[in-house]
Amino acid sequence: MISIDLKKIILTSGGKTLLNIKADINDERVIGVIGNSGVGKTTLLRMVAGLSDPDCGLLQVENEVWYDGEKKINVKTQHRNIGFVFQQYTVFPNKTVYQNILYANSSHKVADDLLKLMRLEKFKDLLPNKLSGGQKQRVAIARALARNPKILLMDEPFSSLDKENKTHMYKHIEVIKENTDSKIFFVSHDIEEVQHLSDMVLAIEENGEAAIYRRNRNNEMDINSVDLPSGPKQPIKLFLSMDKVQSGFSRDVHLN
Amino acid sequence: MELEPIILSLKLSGVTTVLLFLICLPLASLIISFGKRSRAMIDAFSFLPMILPPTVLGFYLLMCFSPYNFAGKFLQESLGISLVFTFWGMVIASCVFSFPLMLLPIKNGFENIDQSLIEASYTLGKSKLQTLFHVILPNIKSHIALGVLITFAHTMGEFGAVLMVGGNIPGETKVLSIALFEKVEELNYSTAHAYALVLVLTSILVISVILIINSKSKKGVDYDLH
Repeated sequence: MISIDLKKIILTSGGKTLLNIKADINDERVIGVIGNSGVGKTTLLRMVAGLSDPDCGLLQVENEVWYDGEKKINVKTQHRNIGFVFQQYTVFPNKTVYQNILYANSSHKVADDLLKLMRLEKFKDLLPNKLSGGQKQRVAIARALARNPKILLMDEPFSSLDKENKTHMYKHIEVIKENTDSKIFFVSHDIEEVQHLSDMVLAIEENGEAAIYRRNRNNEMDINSVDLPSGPKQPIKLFLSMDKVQSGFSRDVHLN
Repeated sequence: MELEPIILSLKLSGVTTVLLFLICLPLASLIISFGKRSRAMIDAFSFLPMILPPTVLGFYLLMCFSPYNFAGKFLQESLGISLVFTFWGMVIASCVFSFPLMLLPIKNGFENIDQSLIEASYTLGKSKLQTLFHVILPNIKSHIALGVLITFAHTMGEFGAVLMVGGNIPGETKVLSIALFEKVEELNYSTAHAYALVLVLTSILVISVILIINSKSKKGVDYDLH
């Protein structure tokens, strides 16, 4: 279980906003993070990774407290068992595909398995500048998975990919889900993508608070299960403004 | 043509380059952790040896190393070291004079490296030291090479500061540039041409290596997004 209760003042186009994310993640494996530009999606991922410090709050992963503002606990990034896939791939340009994965985990067996899992065997000895965007993205994911992370954080992992590569990457997410125990957080602007892949959605609103959607027993994204962190129920703009709601999602409840 | 000044110049350049590399690498990594204002002050200060005339710099170093002044007296009386008109005096003068040439390219490398590469290394559980050796240094090697080559080439031709501190002692402090000056004074132009040619060839070699490294570096760091 992951318990997130993190607060941080961030600078948005509308001035200073309190990013206030509260969510309990139980059995959900893939968590989509959605919201308009600049609302704090990347900041949330960075806070979970320990790359940005929250102003206060609590972050607990299973029985480990990674951040506790009151008790002044802030586990270093290096000691959090996470994998992070950056928006621009961030594959080490001085290392081959294989060396990139070995840098994360020196076990050749793990590296070989990951090459196979991400279908990168034939690119093993190439430097990143010889790879396409989709291939680099797969290297970044393979490298992030090499430590068998509890949480895999992916910041807009599909935004630079064309439709064909996106479809391949969606399959890879399913493969990762089947082959690892990692919980996967991914940031996206594409509502269809989020609906398709996620077991749970964190929709960060303009006011900095996150609405939570969970899939119900019928594998539908249930708007009834929405948790709002505070105040009266308000229109969840992102969800209600969806043009292409898939058949598997309930939209018969209108808030406000 | 004597080979001694050439060997001495190579030795001076080699020692100066190694010493400055060992000083500037950790210093540059430290400086980038400072705030903007402190960095601006350090930048201005590190430019000073480039702006000051070499003879002025050499003169003050000579005064400093003099056994009649505090620093020189301390070195001589406490440690038995005399730096005036010695090889190691010239090394210190060269280090001071070439300091910005080594520091600034390396510092630029640290400043310009993609921060997400460093963060990616941290997310893989790597310490700051591991990240320095496995990620940062390999990705700023063109900056490091630039600092090393320019420092070496510049020290090969350094004249004013080393003449002031080292004088012109054959086999001890008579480096290539001083030997060249001496031959011109003696109107021995053929030997002067030979010495000058060595310096010109060194410069051409260094520029060629810098160009090769730059072109390779541009090919290597190609963040193609598609």
